[in-house]
Amino acid sequence: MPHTPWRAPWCALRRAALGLAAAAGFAGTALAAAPVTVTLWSWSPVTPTMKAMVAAIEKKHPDIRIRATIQPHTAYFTALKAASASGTLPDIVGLTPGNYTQQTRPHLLALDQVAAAAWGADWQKHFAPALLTQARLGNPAGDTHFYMLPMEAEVLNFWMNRAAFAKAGLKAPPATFAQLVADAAKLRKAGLIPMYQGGATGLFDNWVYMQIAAQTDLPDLLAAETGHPVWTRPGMIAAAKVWGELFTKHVVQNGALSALQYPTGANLFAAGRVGMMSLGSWWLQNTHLSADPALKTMSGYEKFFFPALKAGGKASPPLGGIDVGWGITKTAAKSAAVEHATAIVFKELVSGAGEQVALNQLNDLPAFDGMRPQGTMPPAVRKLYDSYIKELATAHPHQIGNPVIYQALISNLQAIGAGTKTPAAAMAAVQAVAQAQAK
Amino acid sequence: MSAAVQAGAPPRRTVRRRGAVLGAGRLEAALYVLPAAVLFGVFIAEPIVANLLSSMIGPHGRAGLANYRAALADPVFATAIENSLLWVVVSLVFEIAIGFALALLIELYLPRGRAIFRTLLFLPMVITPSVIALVFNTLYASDYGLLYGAFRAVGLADAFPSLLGAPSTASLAIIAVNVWQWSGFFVLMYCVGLAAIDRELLDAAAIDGARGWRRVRHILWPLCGGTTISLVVLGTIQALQQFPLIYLMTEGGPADSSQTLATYIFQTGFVEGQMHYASAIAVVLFLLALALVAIEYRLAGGGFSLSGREVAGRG
Repeated sequence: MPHTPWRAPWCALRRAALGLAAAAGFAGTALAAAPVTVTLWSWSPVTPTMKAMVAAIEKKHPDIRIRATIQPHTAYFTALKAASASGTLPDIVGLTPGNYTQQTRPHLLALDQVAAAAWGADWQKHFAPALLTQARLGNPAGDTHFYMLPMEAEVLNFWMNRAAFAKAGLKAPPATFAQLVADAAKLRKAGLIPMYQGGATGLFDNWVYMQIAAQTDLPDLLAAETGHPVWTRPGMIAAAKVWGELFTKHVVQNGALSALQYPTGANLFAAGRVGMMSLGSWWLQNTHLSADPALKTMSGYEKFFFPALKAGGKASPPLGGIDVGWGITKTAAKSAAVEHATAIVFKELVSGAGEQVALNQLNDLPAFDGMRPQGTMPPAVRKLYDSYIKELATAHPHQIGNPVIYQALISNLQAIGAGTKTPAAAMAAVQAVAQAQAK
Repeated sequence: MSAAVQAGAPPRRTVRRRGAVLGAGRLEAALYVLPAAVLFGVFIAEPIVANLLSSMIGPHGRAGLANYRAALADPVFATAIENSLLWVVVSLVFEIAIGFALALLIELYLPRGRAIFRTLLFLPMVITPSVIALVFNTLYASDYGLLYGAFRAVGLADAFPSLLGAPSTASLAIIAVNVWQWSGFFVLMYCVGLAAIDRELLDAAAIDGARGWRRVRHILWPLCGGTTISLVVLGTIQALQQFPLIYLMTEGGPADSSQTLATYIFQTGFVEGQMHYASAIAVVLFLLALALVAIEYRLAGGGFSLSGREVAGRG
C-alpha cells in the first residue's frame, strides 16, 4: 500500500485507542469496586449543613460518593433551567413545589415507585396530606404522579428582637395592627428600623401580603394560590390596603422596596438594629450557625403572627408547607448502578441519615412522619420548635403555583408600596394576569 | 481559425494552468476562512436563528407572531424599551462628557503622573459587578446607608431620597453606577485618541489663534471623532446588554420600574418560564441594538477607530 501523509497520525491514534482500551480492560476489576457517584444540586440546606449531611450518608453507604453543589437561590434556579435545556442536570435536584417543580417536570422521574420501594406501598401515610397536596401543585390535570417529595417544611411568621424592643421601651410583640403601627413609631424614635422588609426580594413581599390575606380572606387566598382568578375579591383588596399601610404608616423602613432580605436584612436583624422582621421557622437554624448567645439560645427573639387587624380579633393563621424537597432527574437513569445509588441517597435525604443531620442542626421542620431532632436543645429553642411542629399541622399552603401570577403579584405589591398604584388597581392588574393564565 | 487564436489568445493549456492555480488559491483561501466560518456558524448564526424560531412558537405550541403581539400589549415590555433607550442616552452622554474632559485634563494639563491617573480611573472596570452592586446598595440604602448617614449628620435625615426604592429614580440611580464604572474606560480611550493627534497640527492651530475652548471645540474634539464614534458604538452595546448591576441592585423593580430588555428577558425566560416570549424580547433587543448602531454609524459618517485615526468607513 503506498504511503500517504495522513496515515501515520491515523495509525498512531488507532494504536493509542487500542492501548487505552486495553488499559481500561486491565483496570476493569478495580473499577468494579469503585464507589458510585451521585450528583446533587440545591440551594438549601446551607453549605455547612449539606456537607454534614453528605458525610453522614457516605459513612452509612461507603459504596456511594455524593457530589453536592449548593448555590444561592436565584443562581440555583437559573442553573437548573439552563441545565434542563442542555440536558446536563445532576441526578438529584432540590426543588420547591409549584413553579420550579413544574418547570423541571419534563426532566424528572415520577417518584411513586421509588417511594413505594423506600417506604412501602402505603408510603403516603408518612407525609402530612397538606404537604403531599403541595408537592403536586401545578401538575397538569389528570397527572397524579409525584415529581418531588419534601425533605423539610416551614412555617411563615414574624420575629421580634427583644434587645431592640427593650431599647424602645417595648416588651412584647404587637397584638393588633394599631399596636404594630404604634410600636413602629417608638422603634423609629429609638433610632431603629421598626420592621425590616427586603422588598427587592420579591418572595417576601408575596409572603407578607399572603399572611395578611390569610386574615382577611383565607378561602380566596387558597383559591388564588392554585390559579383561580379571585384577586379582586374584597378580602384580597383589603389585604393589599393593609400592605400599603405598612409603607404609608412607616411600619417598614424607608427604601424598603430596594432592600434585600438576605444577607442585609437578616444581618441587621441579628445585629439588633431592626425591631421586627418577616422570616419563618428556618430562623432557628441560627442556633447552630451563630456564635451569638442571643441566637444560640433564641433567648433574644420571640416569634409572632401578623397581628389582628381589629381590636379583639385574632392574629393571622399560620401559613407554611414544603421548604425544600428533592426530585430525581432522568439523568440518574443513565445506568442501573447510578439509578440504584440515587434511590438510596434520595431516601436518606428525605427520611434517613441526611435528614437527621439537617434536623439536628434545626435547618427547618421535618416533613417525614416521626422524625425529630436528636440531642439536647436550650429550653427556649425546644419551646419554639414544638410550637412550630403544632402550627405546621394546621398551616395553610404558602406557595403560588403559577410563576407568571407570582411575578405579577410581586410587581403590583411593589407598586402599592411605591404609591404608583392603588390597592384596587394593583389587584385588578394581578387579576388580569391570572385570568389570562387561566385560559 | 477561431477569433481567440486570431487575437493572439494564450494556448488552451496555459488557460487551464492559470485556472488550476486560481482554483487552488480559492481552495486555500476557503480553508483559511473555514475555521472562522464554522465558529461563526455554530456560536453566532445558529443561536440567532434558533432564537428567532423559538420566538415564533406561541402559546400551546402554535407557530406565529403571538409572542410579538403579546409584547406590544405588555406594559412591562414598554417600560423595558423606554429604560433601555434611557440607559443608552444617559450613559453615553455622561461617559463621553466625563471621559473626554478627564482625558483633556490628563493629557494636556497634567505635568506628571498621567499613568497613575489613567490606572486609577480604569480600576472600577476590573471590579466585579456583584461587589459594585453590594457597595452601592449600601451607599444608597435608607436608614443605614452611607449617604443617609451624611444626610442625618446635617439634620436632613427626613429629606433623604430612597433612590433605588422609588420607581422614578431607580433606573437613574443604577445608570449613575454604570457611568462611574465605565467612565474610566472612556478616559483611557480618549487619552489614546488625544495622544495620537499630530503635534505639528496643534502647533499650527495655536499659531492661527486656536487656544483654550476654541482649540478643544474646533481642533481636539473633531480630531477625536473616530474615537467618539467607536465609543458610542461600544457604549450602546454595553448599555443595552447591562444585566448584572440592575438585577443585583433592584431585580428590575420596584414594580418593574428599572426593568430593561436584558433583565426582562431573564425574568420572563428564567423566572416565569416563558422561554418563547423571552426569545421574542431577545429578538427585539437584537434588532434595537442593530438599528441604533447603524444610525450612530451613519450619523457620524462612519470612521471606526480607537486611536483617533479612522481606519474604516466613509468619513
